[in-house]
Order: sequence, then structure tokens, then C-alpha cells
Amino acid sequence: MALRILVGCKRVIDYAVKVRVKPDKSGVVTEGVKHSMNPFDEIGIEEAVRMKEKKLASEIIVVSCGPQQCQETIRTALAMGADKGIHIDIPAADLSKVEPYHISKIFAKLATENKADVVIVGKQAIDGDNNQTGQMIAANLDWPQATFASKIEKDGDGLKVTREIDGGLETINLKLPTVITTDLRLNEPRYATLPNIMKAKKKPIEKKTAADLGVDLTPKQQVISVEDPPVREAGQKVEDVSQLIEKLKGAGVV
Amino acid sequence: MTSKVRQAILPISRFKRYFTPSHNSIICTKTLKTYIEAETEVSNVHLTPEISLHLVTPNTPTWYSDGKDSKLFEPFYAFYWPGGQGLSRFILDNSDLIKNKNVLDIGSGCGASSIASIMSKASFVTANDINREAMVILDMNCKLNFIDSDAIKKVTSNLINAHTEYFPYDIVLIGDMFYDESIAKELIGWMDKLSKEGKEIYLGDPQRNDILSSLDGRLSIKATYNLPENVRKENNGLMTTKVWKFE
Ligand SMILES: C[S@@+](CC[C@H](N)C(=O)[O-])C[C@H]1O[C@@H](n2cnc3c(N)ncnc32)[C@H](O)[C@@H]1O
Repeated sequence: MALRILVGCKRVIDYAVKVRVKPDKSGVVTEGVKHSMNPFDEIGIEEAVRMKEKKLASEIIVVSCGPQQCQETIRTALAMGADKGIHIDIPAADLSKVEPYHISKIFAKLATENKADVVIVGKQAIDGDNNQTGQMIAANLDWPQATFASKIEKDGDGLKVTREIDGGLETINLKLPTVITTDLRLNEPRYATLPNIMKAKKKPIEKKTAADLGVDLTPKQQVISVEDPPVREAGQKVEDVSQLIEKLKGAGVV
Repeated sequence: MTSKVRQAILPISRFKRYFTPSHNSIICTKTLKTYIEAETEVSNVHLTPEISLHLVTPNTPTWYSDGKDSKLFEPFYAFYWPGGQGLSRFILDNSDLIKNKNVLDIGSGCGASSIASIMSKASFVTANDINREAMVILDMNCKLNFIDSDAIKKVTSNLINAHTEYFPYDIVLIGDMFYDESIAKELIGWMDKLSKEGKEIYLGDPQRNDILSSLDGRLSIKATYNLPENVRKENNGLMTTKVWKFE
């Protein structure tokens, strides 16, 4: 097996940063905030590199859509072991209006252009939490899909994927080409070390725009308002069960 | 700062001074040696354990860093790359090909392939690396292996595309130089010229990209080696390294 794998790596606000809503409620503050690679995408890249190490894959192409800084995210993926990068340049100001719909069109086009056998993306990005892009890529290409993957194995000419579903695990066989979205338990991504970082600087990154791919970024949705989640009210401590029941009675819930 | 700029602003070699861009200062050979000693360890965990080398390894903090705090700037010479490892293994195992020959090691880095050539009784060895700091570590690595450092001629000018009419070399070694597409493209044209002039060219490479497949008809495979575990970790995604003769 010598699969060509296209993997998404989205640049998102770092998981450890406290996200702040803009005063005009049009979105969240991104300027001057630490960004890093969407953790589910790190898992996707790790899996692709492991497939390469098992000789299942021959080439790993990583894609990131967004401003110039996405090239840093791509470099991280290249240091993890991907072979080349494609940066789809979308200015920061336009990025908040780009939806999974558009990204899926971009990926579908790139998958075809690069003759990919497998497209791997995270099950969701930790910023928008949309959980749509992978499914839409599969729909655009009319390829089979395996979402929420926790294990990927070779199976004859295709792949066997274990999926995390409500109440258990589901195993499905997929014909190629296919789209896979990663879940948290698929693997534990490696860190990029200095020798890998140094070599990654020399790997090629191609820069393109959505227009180059014939993808129109006109929004399909309109964001009405973005708001902070309500602040949790302080709780009360009770000594024992009888006190709990008393309090619940007092609140009129039992 | 790119290495080109660095080369341009470096004083000429007889001053024996080196630049550490992380500190934006010019340092002397002795200081560079202390930095190398501090950030590397002597290692034999590679494909040529008979050669000891100062290397950044998983036992040294720099290995885990992004390089910004290192006193060594992009120290390609402080790693033993898969291409050079295979090539040096091949040289040690096939000393009859090297014995009494005049050898040129392009992109010598840590210098292992040059040292391997001396061990295989080459009559003359030239190490060439455009990073002058590589010559300092070569010197240190010669000492580790009880080789007279003067036995290896050190050249830091860019020989790729240089005139070759008066090249005295019989054999040209190219270890792990195809990682950078722009170097690779220049090298290929130059290799063609060298081979027409009757030089024997040996390439060691782990095939990080498909540049070498464009040379398909001209490469004859000489050896394939599995990479040790620590070398795999240094080169995510790679499992083997190969040696070819370019004809
Ligand atoms: C990846 S390292 C390989 C080192 C060594 N051959 C090995 O395999 O371990 C590439 C080396 O080539 C050197 N280099 C880059 N361009 C060069 C050129 N035009 N001429 C000579 N050396 C060059 C770099 O400074 C670096 O030390």
C-alpha cells in the first residue's frame, strides 16, 4: 500500500487560552492571542506519519487555511513528519466568515488535484466546534467516510476503521479513496524535536488562494451574536443527606 | 538570518572566527568548541558504532528544544543524518572501493564519511561544507577517533557547480544533501558533469522526497540499511536509508 494522504491542520486559539468575546459580540478576540495547531489535527498528522512508518502511506501533504501565520502550523506538521505543505491564504479579517462549507470545498478540490487516497481531518476544531468539515468533504467528493476514528488498520485494498460512537465502538471497512475524521483516543501525537524542526524548514510549502482553486468564499450563514457562556452561580455545601433533602425541599424541587 | 548572509559577513577563514547568530556575536574556535562540548555528547548509537561522534542526542537538552536557546545556530553538523550514516557504513564495509583513492565529501557535516574514508585507507580526503563551524566539529571528531585532523583537507567554499577540470578527486561522496530542493537541483546538474568526467559518485539518502526518483535510470542501488530507533526519532517518518552509485 502506498497511499497519498492529505491532512488538515487548522491554526486555532491555543487550548490553554481563556477565550474572550469581542465587545461588539461579532466574534472572539484573536489578535495577540497564542495560537497553536488544533489538537485533533495533531492526532491526524501523527496517524498519517505512523501509516508512513508502517509503509501504508507514501506521501503526506498537510493543508492549512488562514493567514500567513498558518505557515508556522504547517512547519510544525512538517517537523512531525509530513512531507509537504499547502497554505491556502485567507486574510485574518476574512477568516471569521469562512465556514466548514467553504473549507470542505477547498479540501475536495485539493484531494482531487493531489490524487489523494485518504483525507484525514480532526472530528472538529476546538474553536468553532462545528464537527462538519470531514462529513462535507466526503459529500463533495462522494467518497465513503469514517468519522470519530479511534483505530485505523489496513484491510485488503481498503482500510478498517474503529469508530467511537454513543455506547461503544463500531468497526467499518472502507473502500478507497476515503475521508477519515480523528477522535481523541486514536493516538498520542509526538513532539517535534530539533533535528526534525531543522529539516522541516527545508520542506516545500505551496501557497494558493481559494480563488486559485475556484472556490467562492461568499458566506452562507450570518453570525447574529457571539456571547460568553453564562457565569456559573456559586454552589452550596451540605453536611449530609438529610440536609440535602431539606434544601431541595426548600427549593421546591422534590 | 540565512546561512548565505552569514557566510557573507563572516571574516575570512584565516581569522578562525565563528558567528553565533543566536547571540549575534563573533566567537573564536575555542569558544565554539566549548559550546559544542556543552551541547553534545559522544555517541556511537548509529550505523557506524566504530566511529565516535560529538552529537546532539536524546540525552542532550538541545535535542528537545526548538533551537532558540541553543548556542549553536542550526547545527546540521551536530547530527548524523541518515544519508551520511548509510554512506559511511557502506564505505567501511567496502574499503576496497575507497583504498588509495582521492575522496571528496560534499556537505560533510559532522565529518563521519570523511573519517570513514580515512579508516578505509583513502590516499587523500577532502571534507567540504559551506558551514565553517562543521570544520571545527570535524576536528573534534577526528581527535575522538585518533585520526590526525591534518589528514583531512578542509574546504568551506561552495564547490557545487564549481569548475571541475582540475579536480584531483576519484570519488565524490554526497551524504543526505537532497533534503533541500534548491541544493538538490544544482547538485544533479553538477553530478552529471562529474560523472562524464569519470568521477565515481556515491549518494547516501533516506528519500525524504521524490527528487531522487527523477534520476531513476542513473542510480544503481548499492545498499539499504534499517535506521536505528533513535535515528528514526530524529527523522520522523523515515525507516531506511540507501546508498546508490550515480552513473
Ligand atoms: C543534512 S547535512 C548532511 C551532513 C552529513 N553528510 C551527514 O549525512 O551527516 C547537510 C550539510 O550540507 C551542508 N551544505 C549545504 N549546502 C552546501 C553546499 N552548497 N556545499 C557544501 N555543503 C553544503 C550543510 O552545511 C550541512 O552540514
